[in-house]
Amino acid sequence: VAHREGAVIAWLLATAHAADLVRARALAARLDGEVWVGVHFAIADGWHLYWENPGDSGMPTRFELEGAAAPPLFPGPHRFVLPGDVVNYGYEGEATVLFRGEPDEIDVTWLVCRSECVPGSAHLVVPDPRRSDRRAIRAARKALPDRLPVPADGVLALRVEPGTAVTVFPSVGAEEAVLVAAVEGRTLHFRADPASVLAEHGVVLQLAGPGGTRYVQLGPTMEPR
Amino acid sequence: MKYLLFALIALISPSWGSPVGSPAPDFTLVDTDGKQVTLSQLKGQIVVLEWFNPECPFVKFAHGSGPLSYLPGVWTDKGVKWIAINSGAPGQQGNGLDKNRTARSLWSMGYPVLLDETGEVGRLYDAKTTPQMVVIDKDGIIRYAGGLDNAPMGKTEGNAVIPHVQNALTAVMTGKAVEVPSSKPYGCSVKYGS
Repeated sequence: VAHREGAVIAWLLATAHAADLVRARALAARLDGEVWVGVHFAIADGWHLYWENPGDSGMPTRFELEGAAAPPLFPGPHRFVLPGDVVNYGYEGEATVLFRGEPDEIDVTWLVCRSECVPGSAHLVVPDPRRSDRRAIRAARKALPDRLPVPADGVLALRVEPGTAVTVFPSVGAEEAVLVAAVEGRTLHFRADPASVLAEHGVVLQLAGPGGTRYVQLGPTMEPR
Repeated sequence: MKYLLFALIALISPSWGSPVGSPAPDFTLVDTDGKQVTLSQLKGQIVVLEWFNPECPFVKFAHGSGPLSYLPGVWTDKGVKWIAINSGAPGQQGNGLDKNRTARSLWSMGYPVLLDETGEVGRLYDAKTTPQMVVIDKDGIIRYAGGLDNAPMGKTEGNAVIPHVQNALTAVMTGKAVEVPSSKPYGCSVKYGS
């Protein structure tokens, strides 16, 4: 009997552990006359969730919506380098993915990794936007990359703080292009070759300056479905 | 000068596993039964390398109900030599004789699982994920490197499934060019020690 109890406790602990790695909840608010819905993820210390392009390994965090909504808007990602120079794009701590529109329910599936990976999922019922998570939604909107017009020649020059470090996050389809970014003084230079890649397969740039980190986005990063 | 500077600072270009068209780097490893396997001794046979970790969710899917539950059997019946390689370091997920022996029997893998605990062979082939795949022709030339297919965990985002390894093997077997010789590997990271 003691044996069986031990096994049950071990199983309960393992299950609780898996559930604790990621906690997902739905948010909603009406801002500037438009309904925004968000999925907030709280991620256990040392673990990371994935951006829409997971990088060398991992799996994109995926959403299936019931009711009307535009594609997910991911916040600016971070870069994780695992042993063997395996590069991952994603989030640690917390992250909120946003949707414009009013889905009723959201099914979300994810893979959460540190060295090992654990798949997870949640079925979320979207709360009434009148109940309002305005502050959280507003903060999540701030964490979205700023969309810039796509340069037809693939070249971008952008004014930045001196000492800014730039990191390039290609969408899945942009990985085959040559993407070059560097900061010289107060200017960020970015170039995509072929230039045409940005029209369909976008790129997110992380600009980490002395005064804080911001993100810009060129082109659509979500692959057409 | 400006562009040179750019190139030095931050360049992203894809390199998906081993260079297709070049000779497959030779190696000798020991399988879970203690038997030595040397790649160069398999010349004259088509060889498939499959990076393996029995505890990776992608590998569990592929072997449990996905393509790796039937593809290796189909192709080994046609004379293809299929080899799994676990490049996980000691103490990492999926490492160790017991776990790999158990998985081999659980999934009825009729082919060897080689242990590469130093990660040397994994790095030689630039293996980043499990399951990452390499197809080598009878002359020892790499003809395909990359993902098993375009369907991680069986999901394709509404697109048709492209069975890359199946297609590559069909082409190599019939003496044709491999239409898609490389694709982005997907899955868990290979659990290298450092």
